[in-house]
Formats: sequence, structure tokens, C-alpha cells
Amino acid sequence: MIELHDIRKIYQLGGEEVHALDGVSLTIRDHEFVAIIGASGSGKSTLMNIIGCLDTADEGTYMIDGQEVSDLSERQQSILRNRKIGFIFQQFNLLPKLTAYENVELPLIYQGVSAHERRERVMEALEKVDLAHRVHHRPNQLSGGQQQRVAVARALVTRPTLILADEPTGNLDSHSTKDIMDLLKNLHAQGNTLVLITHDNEIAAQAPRRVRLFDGRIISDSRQDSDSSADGPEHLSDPDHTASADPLSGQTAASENQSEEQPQVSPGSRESSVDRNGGDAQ
Amino acid sequence: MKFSQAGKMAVAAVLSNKLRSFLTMLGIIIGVMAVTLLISLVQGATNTVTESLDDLGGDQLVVSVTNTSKRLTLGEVEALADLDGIDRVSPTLSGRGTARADGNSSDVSITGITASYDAVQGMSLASGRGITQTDVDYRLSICVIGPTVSKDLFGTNADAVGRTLRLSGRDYRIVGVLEEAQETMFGSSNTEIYLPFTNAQRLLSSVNVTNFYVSVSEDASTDDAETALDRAMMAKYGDDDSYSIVNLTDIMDTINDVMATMELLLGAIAGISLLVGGIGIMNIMLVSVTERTREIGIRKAIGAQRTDIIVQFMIESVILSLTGGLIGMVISQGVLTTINTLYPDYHFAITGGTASVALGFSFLVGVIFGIYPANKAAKLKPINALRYE
Repeated sequence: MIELHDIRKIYQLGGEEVHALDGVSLTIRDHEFVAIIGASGSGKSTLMNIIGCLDTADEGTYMIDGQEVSDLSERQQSILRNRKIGFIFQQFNLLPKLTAYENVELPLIYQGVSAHERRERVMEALEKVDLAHRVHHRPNQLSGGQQQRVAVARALVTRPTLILADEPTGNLDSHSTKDIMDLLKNLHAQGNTLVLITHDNEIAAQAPRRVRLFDGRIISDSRQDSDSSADGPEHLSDPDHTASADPLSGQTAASENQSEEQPQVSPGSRESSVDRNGGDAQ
Repeated sequence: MKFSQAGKMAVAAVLSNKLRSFLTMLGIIIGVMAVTLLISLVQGATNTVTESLDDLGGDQLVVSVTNTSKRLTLGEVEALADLDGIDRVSPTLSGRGTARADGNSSDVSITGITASYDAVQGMSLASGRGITQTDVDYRLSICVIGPTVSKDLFGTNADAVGRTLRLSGRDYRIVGVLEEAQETMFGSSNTEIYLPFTNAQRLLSSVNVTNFYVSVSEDASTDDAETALDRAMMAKYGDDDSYSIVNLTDIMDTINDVMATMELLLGAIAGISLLVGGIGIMNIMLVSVTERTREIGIRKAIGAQRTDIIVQFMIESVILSLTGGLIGMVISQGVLTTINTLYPDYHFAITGGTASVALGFSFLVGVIFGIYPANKAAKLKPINALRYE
């Protein structure tokens, strides 16, 4: 359970104050799949860094599982990142000198897991992302899609409360994008909480809940009815359904989504912002 | 995170850039080499000097009489052996001369000795016999010669024992030849001719004992023997300007002190190069931290704590400095072995103490010069480190 309340983050840029986040309140329940959408400069990266405990808010409260993050020491925040959050980055951020296996193993090493248990969990994670056959390859011997799958394995090997994916498909071709998205949806179907940060409406449309950021504020928070009704036992029992159905429905979902969002934004000025925002993203 | 895991990461990082790691180590290699070489050389030299003194007799007292108006007879000197703490007394009478035989000649130092000389000073014979009490009692014209004298007079391989040489118009039968002795800073017995004391008195026209060596009893201290001797001599001469007693142990102590100071001084100077090597390590570690900013960011994002990062970088710097230290020590051992092979008279070696000091210092250098970069790495904010390109 993630609870953000009135989060503000202000940067000083050349003597000018930039409100990267201007009072963001957001609650993400366990097992949810949320896409945070916004153009560059909308504050979505800042939000992701705060949710991931990589950065701290200037104002507001942020609780993970009932724990106020700003009360934690640097060391406790490291432990929290290690145990509760799995990161997936646009740049993959694998250590280039370590093999796929070693990259996935690293968070468990920092956690102090025994060698035997590490071996089991790393292999299990790599099997989940279908990379058990490339265990001893280094990142530069893997394709972009494979590297991102290693990163996914690294994120889920600690069995985190929250998987945080920052533009996970931003550096991938369409085929790998589909692979990764299928994988993420699968993880969600298996009960993981997933926060996906993207500027791409098409990608965002695959999430049952979409939060749109603009100029450091949340301008819309919508749920896709069809998906939220399916967001339960049906998914859990039949993960293949999501994988096969979504690429087809993705396009339609995106257009549905767009029309669905607009009524929620009441002031006219914001409506135009959304349009401009959407235009930027595409 | 376990220490062994951090160690593995550090080893991997050191090995991933072998040339740079080696160049970084080079400073420490040279530093440790300088320290161990210089200290070992000084220690070796000290040992050589100490051995020379030991050859002269480490636990003996040397008495020289400067007051020639008061006679000190052979009997009086020999009576000193009865004093407490004194084992034997060996009076000597020295002069110079030219020995001739077979038309050859050799400049020699002539020393008149008694039978106790062998026991006090030590005399190693290559062939023949030494000088006995009988030789002294009957003033026999016999002599024991050094190997150089033998070579000069009779050629390289000839056995001189039984042959005769002339000294100042007198014939002396050679009864023994000494073993080749090592040249020391005090000269050697190679150019020496030893005569029975009584015979030397006549040859050198000198009746009085001018010098004698005293060996100290095993159960007595050199200082006690010196005190007893001093008291006896004082009783004879009445003032301490007429004689002098030299304690070789004192000289040895002084030399050891000087050498220890030199060792410390040279070690300290060489230590400066170790310091420079340490700065080299710090420099490279700082570059490495900057280069690996992104890596540090990733590690922190996935849960590395500040201490994990510190330990990883510290181990890296200690590996560099310790490995450098070991390599430096191996090289200087090689250099010392080469010197020992080329000059068999010397026995240079790195002692356990030197080795542990050198390795201890390289370890310290690694720790001290690793702290700052490691801390710098650990303090990086994950968010900034991840953004770093």
C-alpha cells in the first residue's frame, strides 16, 4: 500500500523555482497496476524517484505499508529499497561487468540471503522472464529486450511490495516492447503491485488504472472499466488471456481511454492541457 | 552483505582493468621495494660489522699500556687471569718487519703471542700446529704465518709447514699456516706472522707487555670483568691515564646504535615513496569513483547501503596496496638473492620484522588513502548517481 499526500518538490533552476511536483496525492493499493502518464517535464520522473525512495519530497507525506518514509534514516531507506521496491529502468541499468545471473543476484547479496537460497531464487526469477538459457551472458551479449528481462528478473527476485517501472519500453523495439509488457502484465496477474511510468498513451492504455500528470499535478485518475472488472480471479487463473488479448485491444483501449478521461477533467483550461499533453506524447 | 561478497566484487573490479591496477600498484611496489631493500641492506651491513667484531672476540677486553716507564711483565699479566670474572689473558707484542725466503720477501706484521691466544682470540689453522706453552717457555724460533705470507714467499700451492723464513736476520721454522681469513674493517690475519711471545720480545727488542686481550669467564658479565681488571691495573699504575681498557661489547653496542638509527632514517626516506604510492592509489580510486558513479547509483537503487559501498571500495584500495606491497617484497628479495649470489661474503635477507612492517605499512596506506574515495562513493545520492552519464 502506497500513500502519497500533498507531495511537493521544488527545484532551483537558475534562481527560478520550478515546482516539479505541486501537491500530488495518490493512493496505490496492493495488487494494483497503475500507469503514471505525462510528458517530459510533467514531474512523473520526480514522482517515480520519490515513490522509489531515491529522492525525498520537500513537503507532504509518503507512506509505504503504513511506514512514513521521511522518518527513515538513509540506511533504513536502503533496506526499504532493497526489500520492498523492485526497479525497472528505461536504460536497463544492469551492471555491465556482471553476468545476467550476477545482476539478478546482487539485490539478494545486499539482503544477506544465503548462497544456496540465492541460487534458487535467481534461477526462479530468470525462468520467469524466460532467460534461464542465457544466465552467464553479460549485458553486452544480450539484446535490449533480453537486458530488460534481466532487469525485470532483478526487480522481482526480492519479492518486492512494489515493482516500479520507469519507461521500461522506452529503449525497445515494438517486438521487445510487447514482450516486456506481456511480462509485466503477467507479473501483475500473479499478484504483484506494479507502477508503470510512461509518456506513451498506448503503453499506458494497457494498465487498468491511469494517472495523468501535468505540470506537477494529477489532472486525471481513471480506471478502465472492462479491465477493472477483469482485474481479479479471471486474470489470476488465466494469465495467457491478458498476454494474447491485450496487444489487439491495446489500440482500442487507448482510444476508449482518451474519450473516457476527458469528461473527468472539469475545467476547460485543463481539458486543453490534456490535449496538448497527449499531442506531445505522440 | 557479507565481507567475502564485497571482497569478490572488489577483486572483480581490480581485475577488470589490469593495466590500470598494475600502474596504480607500481607506486606501492617501488615504495615497498625501497623500504625493504634499504632496511635489509643496512641490516646486512650491520651483521657483517658485528660478525667482524665477533671474530675479534665479542666478549673480550683489550688493554693497552701507555705508560712505558713502569714495566708490566709477562708474569704479572698472566697473574691477572686469576681475577674474578676473567677466564684467560693473552698478552701480545706487535711490530712490523719483512720476511724473506727463497729470494722472495713479504711485508708482515709480527705479533708475539702466548699459548692462550688461540683460546682468547681464536686461530684457525689450515695446516700444521699453533704456538704452545713450550714454544713460549723455551723461546723457540718457530712461527705461524698467514696465507698471504705463505703465498708471497713460497708460491700459491706450496705447503710452507716445515720450511724456514728469515726475519731481521734470524731464521724461523714455520710450524703452521693459517686459514684464509675474511678481510674485515680491522684488517686480517692473512699478512700476519705469529711468534712465541718470549721470542718476539727479543726480536722486537721490547721486554714489556704493551697490549693484552682478556677473555671473560662464561658465568661473568663483561662489565664485572672490566671493573675487576680496572681495579688491578689501578693498583699497579695508580692513575688511569697509564692504561686503557676497551670493551668490544661497548663498541659493538655503539655500532649497533648507529646502524639502527641509519636503518630508521633510510626506512623513513623510503617510506616517503610509499606515501607517494598511496597518493597514487587515492587518485585512481577517485577517478574510479567518478567513472563508476552510475554503477554506484544502480547498486544503491537496488539496496546497497552506505557501508556496503564503503567496504567495497576500501577492499579495492587495500587489495591494490597489499598486492603492490607483496610484489615489491618479492622483487626486493630477488634483488637481495642476486647480490648474495654475486658477493658470497654478504648474507642479505628480508627479516620477518621488515616484511611485516612493509606489509603493515602498505595495508595502512591502502586504508588511509582508500577512506576518502570510498566515503565519497558512499555519499553519492542514488538519484544523482543514476542520472550521471
